[in-house]
Amino acid sequence: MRRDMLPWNLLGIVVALGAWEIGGRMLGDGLLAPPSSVLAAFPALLRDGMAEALGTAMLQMLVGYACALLVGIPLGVLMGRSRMADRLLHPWLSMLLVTSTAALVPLFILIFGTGMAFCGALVFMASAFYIMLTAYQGARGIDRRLMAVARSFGATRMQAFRMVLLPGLFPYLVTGARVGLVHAIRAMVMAQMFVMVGFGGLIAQSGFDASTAGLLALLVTIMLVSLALNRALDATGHRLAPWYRASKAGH
Amino acid sequence: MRLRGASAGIWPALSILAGLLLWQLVSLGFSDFILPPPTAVLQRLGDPAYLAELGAALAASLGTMLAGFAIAFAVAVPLGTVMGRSPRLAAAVEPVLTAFYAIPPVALVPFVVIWFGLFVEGRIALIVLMSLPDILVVTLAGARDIPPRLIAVGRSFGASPAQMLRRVLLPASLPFLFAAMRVGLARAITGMITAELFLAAAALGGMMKTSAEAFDNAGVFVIVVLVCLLGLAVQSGVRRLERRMLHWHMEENR
Amino acid sequence: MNLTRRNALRNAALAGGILTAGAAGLAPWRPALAAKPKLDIGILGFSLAIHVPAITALHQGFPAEGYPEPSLTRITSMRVVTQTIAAGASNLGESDAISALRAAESGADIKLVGLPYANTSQVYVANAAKIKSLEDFAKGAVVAVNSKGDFTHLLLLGPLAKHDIDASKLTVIEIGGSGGRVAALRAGRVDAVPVHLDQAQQLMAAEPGKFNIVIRPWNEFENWISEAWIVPSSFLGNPDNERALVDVLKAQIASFRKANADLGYFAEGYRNYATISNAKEASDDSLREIWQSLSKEARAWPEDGGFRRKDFEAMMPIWKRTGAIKGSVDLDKVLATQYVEQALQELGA
Repeated sequence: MRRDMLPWNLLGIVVALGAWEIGGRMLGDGLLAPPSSVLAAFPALLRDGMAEALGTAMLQMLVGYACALLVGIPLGVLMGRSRMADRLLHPWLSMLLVTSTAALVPLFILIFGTGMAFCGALVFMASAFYIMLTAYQGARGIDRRLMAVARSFGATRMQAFRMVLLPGLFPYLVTGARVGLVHAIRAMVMAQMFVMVGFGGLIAQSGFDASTAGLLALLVTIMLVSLALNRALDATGHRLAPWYRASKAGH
Repeated sequence: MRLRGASAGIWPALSILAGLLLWQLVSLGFSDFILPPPTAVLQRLGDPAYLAELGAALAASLGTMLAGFAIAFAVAVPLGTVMGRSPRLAAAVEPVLTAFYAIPPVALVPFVVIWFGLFVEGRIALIVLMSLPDILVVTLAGARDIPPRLIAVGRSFGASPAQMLRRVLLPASLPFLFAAMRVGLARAITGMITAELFLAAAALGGMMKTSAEAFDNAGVFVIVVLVCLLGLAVQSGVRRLERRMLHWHMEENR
Repeated sequence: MNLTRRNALRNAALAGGILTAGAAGLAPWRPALAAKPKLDIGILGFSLAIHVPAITALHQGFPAEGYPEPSLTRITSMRVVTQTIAAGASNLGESDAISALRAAESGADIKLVGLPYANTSQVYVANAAKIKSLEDFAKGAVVAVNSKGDFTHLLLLGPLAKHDIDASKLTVIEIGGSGGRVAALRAGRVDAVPVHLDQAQQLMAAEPGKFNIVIRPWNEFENWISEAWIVPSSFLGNPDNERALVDVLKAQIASFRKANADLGYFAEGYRNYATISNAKEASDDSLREIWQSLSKEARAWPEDGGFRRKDFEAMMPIWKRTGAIKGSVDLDKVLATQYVEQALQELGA
């Protein structure tokens, strides 16, 4: 996102908040608490240990997410570059992409218990295949002629990978990482909702509250965390590879 | 061409077969209360009455899924295309979209119940909510990718905005539309089963729940596998359609 | 940690041909002197007023006997708790008695060893504009339960049958997840849902006059059975485990007695362990009404543990009639009342 677009970013947020406030006032706190009530719900949540719960949840999420990146990116690239790998792996990608993690929760509890392994496995399951899909699309799109030219100038396989494949692939990897991150965050919160611990446990508990303000405050928190982590990934992308910005600006 | 296609079909089939074998071996280490072997799952399909019930549930699920996907696609593609051409609109919508995207669908369920109810409308709404953001993101990326040269040509021939959309923008973003369709359908299938489990139990999700309550794990896995196969069928269907359409698209541009 | 889950995973590794050599040597390493085992206990997602004495015992009374603090795992689905016990993945589980019996009918090797509470605190809350009394259900209504045939569903069918009220116009739908059920009631999408008494009070306080309680099961039935403690049969093979189980039940029954005698003890447990918003700020006085209902009216914390075979026998016809179980279950095999009996003997009346 470019800096000169900041006013427009803000405009969008303000319009959305305004619509929510009006809708919330019309429906009442029981059905949809407006932002003003949601803001007022934060102190009580912080007192209940929301911040600590969030921190622990995100740390656990990162473990599963890191595994998803480590598995998803290489497999995706391999699929994109090798026809045989594509044939062998594509059916699994298509099948696993549609598995609903919510439907698999009971099975995962039985196999992994309810601790760290459970949350990690669910996060992995939810994010790895989206990361793999994006890496695959990126790797497949890289011009074969470019690779051939590089090889004909005597580039080793490794050099060709570093000089040709990686720069072309990079925007896709960052996109894949960002998409995967959102899936990872959602899966983490959902996993906790089912075993009533931490941040997700707070969400599950808020179902009986008189007002939806508490629930919405928790959801807004997750949104903010997701926005922040997304920005951080984007910035890391720019830092690691200046051409990432260039390729985006070219659009 | 045909021959090559046939030999290419062997490998995916072998890969799936190997996966089934691995599942069978792994399931030996687990009680049937946790992980039934694939043979137990297959056995369930021998009962014609059960198959009929399964078929009816699948048809009902598919109907809802396609309805939800169609709505999401019809809204997201024009919106994404317009956003791709208007950086300001994109800048206004993107933060809100990214934020909304972070909510776990299960946490949306209470709000879907309030606004759309528990039955078909609610299920369709959840499917739309789950697939729309993904379709929008991919379409947006596609619309941004359109070479400015194409647009300049369109303008210089005096195309109206509607004509630009139909004649220039949409065809140029066709490859991305297929990507959007693939991701959107994957999300719609996930949304379908989530909605059927967490709103009023219905169709495939309802069957899965009933089996689970009766501790019939093989029955649960029938649905899990069926949904996976549905994913596979839909993805290869889109792939085939894409190959045909893009082929035609290139011919026409030549 | 549970040895059985590790076993399952180990076998999986074996089957995959990965850990073949290492796994074979694992069994002899088991320490022989673990006299006071650390228990792995699966409890339900929500701990409400009715659960408080039992949960307090697990946190306080039981470790006071020299046991390591048990690991308590919350799982929102009762069926999944039952499955973890059936698979031997935890030692002791709090689950729906009916789902446990149903699991036993489909071949799970489990035993019911006690009750975390007697009777129930589940009530039916209805939209006051539509349903004011049981008779109104005859006119037709939409009711949301977790799953058809579970005990919350029976809490409605039982009283309707008892009063000869026509249930043919009822539409029962299944909504997994209490959040969805409550949202559906609030939005007027369903007319009645089962919730725990404390949750019902919170709902009614939120929107005064909109909802009312139409079924208080303890006014309808003497000894309703909702939840039970279940164990894998394999767990009972070991005398150390059996001793630990008796000590759990002793601590729990002692906690029942204290909670009945002392509102303050109950209220302190509620503030510590209830999973409901603002539980930490609840005063003794604000809890008096629910304590009165549960301790005195519903007799939810019986001084003798309340685990009687004859109560199960009395429930069987209702369970069978509603299709909750097939009825093929052999109570002799599934109920193990000797642990509660031994606990009572050691505690003294």
